[in-house]
Order: sequence, then structure tokens, then C-alpha cells
Amino acid sequence: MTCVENDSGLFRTDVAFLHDAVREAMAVPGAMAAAVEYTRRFVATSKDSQEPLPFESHVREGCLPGAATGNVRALAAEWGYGEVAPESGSPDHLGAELRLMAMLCHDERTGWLTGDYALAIESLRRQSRFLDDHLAPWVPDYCAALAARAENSYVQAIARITASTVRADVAALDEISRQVDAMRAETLTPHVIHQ
Amino acid sequence: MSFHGGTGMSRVLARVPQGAQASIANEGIRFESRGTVLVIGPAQYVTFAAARLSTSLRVLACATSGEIPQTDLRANPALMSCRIAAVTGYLGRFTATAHGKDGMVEMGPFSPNRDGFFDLVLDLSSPPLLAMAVKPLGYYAPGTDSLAIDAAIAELATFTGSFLKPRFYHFNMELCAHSAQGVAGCTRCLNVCPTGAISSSGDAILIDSNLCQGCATCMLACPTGAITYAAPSFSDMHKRLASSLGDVAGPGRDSLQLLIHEDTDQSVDQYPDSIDKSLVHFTLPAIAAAGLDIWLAALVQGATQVIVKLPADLPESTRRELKAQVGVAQALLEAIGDLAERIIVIEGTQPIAPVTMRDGIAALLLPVTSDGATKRNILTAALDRLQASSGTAGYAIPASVDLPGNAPFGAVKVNRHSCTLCMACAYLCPTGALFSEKIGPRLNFIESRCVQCRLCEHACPERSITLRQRLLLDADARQTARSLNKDLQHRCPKCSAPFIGRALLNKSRKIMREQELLNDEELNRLRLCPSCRAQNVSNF
Repeated sequence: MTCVENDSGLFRTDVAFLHDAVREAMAVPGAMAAAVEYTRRFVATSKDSQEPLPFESHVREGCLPGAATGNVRALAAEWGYGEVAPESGSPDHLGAELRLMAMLCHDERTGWLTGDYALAIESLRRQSRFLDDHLAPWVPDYCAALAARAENSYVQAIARITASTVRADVAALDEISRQVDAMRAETLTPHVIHQ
Repeated sequence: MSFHGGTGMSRVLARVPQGAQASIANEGIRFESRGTVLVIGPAQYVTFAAARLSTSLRVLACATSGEIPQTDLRANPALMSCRIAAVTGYLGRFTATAHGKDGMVEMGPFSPNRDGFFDLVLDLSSPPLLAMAVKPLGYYAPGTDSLAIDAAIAELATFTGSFLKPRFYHFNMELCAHSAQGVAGCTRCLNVCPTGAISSSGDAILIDSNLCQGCATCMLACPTGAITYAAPSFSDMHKRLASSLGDVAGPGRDSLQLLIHEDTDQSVDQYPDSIDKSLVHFTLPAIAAAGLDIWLAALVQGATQVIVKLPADLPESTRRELKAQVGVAQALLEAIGDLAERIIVIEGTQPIAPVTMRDGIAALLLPVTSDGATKRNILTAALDRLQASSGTAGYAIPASVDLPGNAPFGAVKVNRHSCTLCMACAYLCPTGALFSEKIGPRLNFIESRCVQCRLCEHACPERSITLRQRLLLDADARQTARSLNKDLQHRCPKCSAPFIGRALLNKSRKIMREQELLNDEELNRLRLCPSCRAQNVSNF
């Protein structure tokens, strides 16, 4: 990895690449080339296309729906989110899994901002679990392959930044969890934390 | 607001007395001049000016053309020959670059200030390096007139110490319609700012408070109220207007003129208060701080005429914008059967003739300072009140009035044959004028909310949107949602679930077919809903 990591955990070169790709895509009315490749890779795909589809169960198990489909649906329900991305067609679609992760991040942020540390810490724990069990095992590899075969630079850039974000998030969550554990031991009173 | 012909010691600056710095540090924008001046221009002017200024300031003088005598160069190390390419900054923070042998050279190392900035600039080039109509504080461009150069030198010689300038504006980025998601929208403030203080950072405008000198032209042009005057505030101006007119307006009065002018405009002395109080002065720190809302509210509150007096040294873009807005006001008045000349602009020593209302003016009190009122809704409420109370016998008020090109009101027209109801326009609309409905693909529009920012026009991938600047004169029609386009839902052939508009699906399939990237089976997959596509992906 030749990239330089910035404070937010994203990678500057990937961000710069995305910036250029967005400008390039937007230079064409309706961002037509990017839209066409998106439709081709994400909407009209089938097994005949000889490439992995953007579903966890298809990538990891070779079928759809698979065990991952049910697992993600169950987790979303257990955490009170229900169906987070009905337009994606399946809860283990790449976009649906990323949206569930975003909702967990939002809850964590809300917890820290409002002083509800129990919510923040529980949301962190759920993020770690969801990353380890679902996103990290397939998204970086899938996105790397997508970036390699994509013809449009916008699709390449989105794939690259998604992969690097998931990788960076794994490392960041480990570090944040260590800091939170240390903080809990030192400063948080037991009644604040509801295990 | 007085700009003194483009020289630098504007009246917006106040000198901070020594010893008072700490107590007033947070009251405005602070500038420090340590007395270092960069002089630019032809050799003959630069040599002369540098000699004059060096008795009171530390000088670096750059002759951009002509020859400096060798004797002068040897005697004065602060003289040099170089072609300055650009100057940027403001009082206490000017930087300059020059053409060097191997490219551009920063002039900072030549500044007598350790931090490399110049505090002041005397630009004797013709034309000056900075092109904006109102130059930054501390930047003097007197041209080649010897009297003007003398005046600039005299003023520069005293320009050291600490200075304060008010922060003239409030900016609410949430209301700004400049851009969204990389799509360009409103640029009105950028187009009219005479100081170059406003720039675009892509999705937002940036206002450099060091450059802003409070002319309020941006506020006059802003269609959403994102930029407002700090002091007096919008509501304070309306309260003062109500108070000014409330004392003298009333039933039976057939002439009451409101003269709006800047508080430093001494030329208004030619219009003295009359004994019968038929002329009321309304002063502002900047003439552009009041616009359509104040003018129309004044008529509603009993004025027979509003006269906007332009000061002599008003920047051209401000003058143009004020005249354009008065043009909008006059078009509105004419449309409702009133007299266009009830709102006029005057300049110089132009005399004013009383406008008398045939039947006198009834005192019409408008609750203009109620909580939550905006420039826009005061304006339309005032117009509706005027419309209800005016008109000529036999005159039929039209359904709408077409307005000049800068008007912040108007309609959005959609070409239904090419629109696919992708909703990019509704997604980006900053005021909620365009919106979709949950049931069925349908694009709705509420005209009273539209500020004509052009985001929708630029966002539309089908180029199906055109704008028309106008105002619907019926308040109900203005505020009622109407459908601009609608379509039938396509239903998934497997589960019958509706999930996309027919036009959008057909357009997508047409594009993909033309690209020849999908086979027939894949093209048919586009007709399936997301769930059926996912469920059947392995078996398709």
C-alpha cells in the first residue's frame, strides 16, 4: 500500500482518485458512462456474467440467497433496524451491508454526543462484530476485483475507496475499542454501562 | 457606504486607540498595519512616491516599466526594477509575486516585515493589478492623476496601527442555493460582489470577511435570504420602517414619500423635511441593505412613493443590481394595476416630484416584524395587500406577471416527453419547491418556494427543465402544489410489485440496448424488481 493514511482513516490517494473520477464522470451529461457501468455490474448482473455478484452469500458461498443473507437479516432485526435497503433486493447486498454499518456508526456518534455512553459502546461492539463477520471477509477482495475489471474510472474509484475504507475501519475499530476499554476501566462508573 | 473612489482608507475602518486593544478585540475584524508599503508602477511615479513615503513608512518600490536612474538605485536599496505579476490580500496581509528569470518569484523575502507580508500597497500601474471595483482596505490605486496620487500618499503616510472593521453579514449555509452534489446553481452574489470577497468552493460560497466592506449587494441579490445584513438586522429595519411611517401615515393623506438613502450621503440635504411631513427620510449604512421587501412594505404602510437615492460613489454592480430590483418592483406594481413610479431610483441632484394618490392612501398595517417572517414572505404578503387595495377601474389583473431576468420568483417548466421522472431535480431543490410523492412517480411544484437558482435545470440529465421568471398574482395558486409530470408504475413481471416509473425503465433499457453491453436476458432483468433479481440471480 503506497497510500498515506489521513486522520479520518480514509486514504488520500483513493480520495484524490475519486475526486478526479467524479469530475470526469460529471463532465458527461447524466454521468452516462458511469451510470451504464453501474447498471451493467450491479443491476443487470446474472451468473452468466462470469463475475462475482455484489452479494456476500454469492461471493462467499456461491449461492443466493445463502446463509449470510439470513444472518444479516437476523442481525438487522435483532438490532432494531429492520430492512435497511429494500431497493437492493437482499440484505447481504454490498450497499445494504454498508448502510447497516453506517447506521451503527450514526448510533455510536449519537451516543457520544448525547452522553449515552452505553449506546456508543454497544454500537462500537456491534460494528466490530459486523465488520469481522460480514464486511471484512469479502468486501475488500470483491472491491479489488471490481476495481480491476471496471472500465469506468468512477466505478474503479468507488470500488477502491470502499475496499480501503473497510480495511481502515477494521484497524480503527480495534484501536477505538482498546481506548474505550481503557476509558471504561479508569473513568466510567459502573452504572453508566449496561452490559 | 462610501468607497472613496477605489482607494484604501474606507470609512468602514475604525482606528483602535492604543491601550484599548484587549477590550474590543472581539467586536469586529481586526487589522494591523506596521507601516510597510509596497509601491508598484512606472519608474517615474514609483521613484517620486517612494521618496515621499519613506519619511513615514518602510518602503519597497518596484518599477514595473521605465528606467530607474543608477544613482537612485545605489542611493536607495528599497528601489528595484521588477515586473510585479500579482498582488493579493488586504490591509496588513498583502503578498506579491513577480516575473523572474526562471518563473514566478515571491516578493515576501523583500518585505521589510519579518513575516513577508506588506501592510499597504500603492499601485500606480495603469490599469491597477487588482481589478475589483472596490479595492481591499490598504490598497491604493489612484491612477496617474497627480492630485489623486498626492492624496493617496498623504493618507498612506498615516496608515499605521490597529484598525477594526465590523463583520457586516450573517451567512446561513443551509439556505444557500449555490450548488449541491457538484451541480452548479445560484451565482447571484458572486456576480455582483464589487470587492471580490465572495468565491465558490464548489458546493458552497465563501465570504472573505477581510475583503467584505458591507455594501450589501450580495444581500440584495440573494434570493433565499442566506446572506443578511448584521446591523441593522432585517427585523430591526422593518421595525424602524414601521415606526417612521407610523408616526405620519394615515387615512386622508394624499402624499407621503419615503426617501431611502445612505447615512453618509450628504447630497440628500437638498431634500429637506417638509412642514407637512410629506417626505420621510429612511437612512441605512448601505443603500443595498434594503430591497423589495422594505420598498413594498413601505407602500403598504402608507407611503405614496419610495425613492431610492443612489450615492455618487456606488460601485457599478451595486447600482446595476438596485436598478434591476427596482425594475422588478415596478413590473409587479404595474401588473396589479398600480403606478410603477411609486418605487423609483434617483441619482445626483435629480429633483423629486410628489406623487399623489387619486383617492388618498388608507393606512394599511402589515405585520412585517412577526416572528419567523422572511424577506420573501414579507414581500409577497405586501404585494397581496397592495393588490387587494389598489387597481384601476376596468383593469383586470392578469394571472401572472413576467419579470426581468434577475427576479427570484418563477415557474419550472418540464418537457413531459423527455422527462423520465428520475427526480434528480427534486433531490437537489434547496427550497422544497420541487418534490416527489411517495405514491407513484410524480413531480410536484409549489411556485411560491422557487427562487430560480437553476439547480434543477442543471441537474436534469434529460435537459427537460426550463425556467420562467414570473410571479403568480393569485396567492392561492402560488402556494398550491401542482403536478409537473407523472407516470404509471412498472410492475415486476414475477411478483407484480411496482418499483419504477415506466419512462425511467424504458429510458434505462434503451440506453443499455444502444450500448450493446447486455444480452436480451440481461436486458430483461432490468424489468424485475430488486428482490426478484436477487432471489433469482443464480437461476436466471
